[in-house]
Amino acid sequence: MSKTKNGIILKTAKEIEIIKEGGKMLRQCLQMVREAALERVRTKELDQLAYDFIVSRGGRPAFKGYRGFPATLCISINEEVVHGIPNNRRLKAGDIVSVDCGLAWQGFIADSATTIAVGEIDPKLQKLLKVTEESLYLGIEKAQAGNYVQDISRAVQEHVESHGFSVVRDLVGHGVGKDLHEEPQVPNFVSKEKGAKLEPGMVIAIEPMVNTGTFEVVSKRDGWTIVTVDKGHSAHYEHTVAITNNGPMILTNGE
Amino acid sequence: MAPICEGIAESTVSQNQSNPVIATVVEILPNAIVRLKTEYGAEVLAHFSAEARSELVRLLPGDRVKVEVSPYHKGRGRIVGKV
Repeated sequence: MSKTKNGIILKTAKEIEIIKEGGKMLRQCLQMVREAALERVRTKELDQLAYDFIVSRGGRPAFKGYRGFPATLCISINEEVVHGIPNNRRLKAGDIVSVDCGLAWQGFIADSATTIAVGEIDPKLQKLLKVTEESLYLGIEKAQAGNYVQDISRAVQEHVESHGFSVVRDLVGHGVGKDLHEEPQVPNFVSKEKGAKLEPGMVIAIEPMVNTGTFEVVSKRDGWTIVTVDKGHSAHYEHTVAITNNGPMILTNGE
Repeated sequence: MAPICEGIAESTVSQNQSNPVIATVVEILPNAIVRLKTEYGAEVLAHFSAEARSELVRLLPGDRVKVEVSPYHKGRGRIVGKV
């Protein structure tokens, strides 16, 4: 039985190494999708590319079949925030496309996401992408043993809101390991709850979701896709991070 | 993939909520249940939401209230306030 601390499953150094291997493959997969995300490409095609990439290398797409999700990637365009289902929609210049992928490797799951600009995009959207990505790394910096989850949330929220954007509240980051979603929850905003204390051996997915307009989101009738209430654009970046005695270790940046 | 936030008060989990419509009270039944007729003519049996319960004390037939009609159960709803 794995060691747990307050309901949070701790991973051994060996297990973290396994997740890191999966994370490296995941990073390569997302890189490939990024290069393939051009005008006129259908989102379904990107999904197929990712599926073939993962399966041919002995991995398993972790989203496919998870609670009934039908695809390998979550592809969310413009006002879609997360959990978009790939379909026959074609990408257009000016779109911002967030791609989220989970990869299961030797029993452990790595989760990562990135937002891609198709062709030339509006300077305001360029700023959105930059600020969101920065907030992810600022949050990761705070993922140290001894800190609380709230310290990560604060770093993300302060950076995002200081630039006039808003942080989605209804969806959160999460622990990850043998299951895609484990304890603890990692919100991107500060609330009354300090959250769990971070200990070495914890592995969490930090995923800021940032909107240009209001933070409110609602789900669409397909039961999966989440969109902004005011149709403002939304960006999403995510890394799986292990808490170690030597600080945070990013498992999904291919290093 | 991001799970839905649970248990943190600030989160506004807005999932497929119906928009409130205005309805007139037809009769007040026991257990905080009210029979309403919406402005579109539909008959709705609605219960008072926890937030709007205080309005129940002064409610009379003919008053107008805001009700969220259930998308899952025909003719049922949830009263969210007075007009």
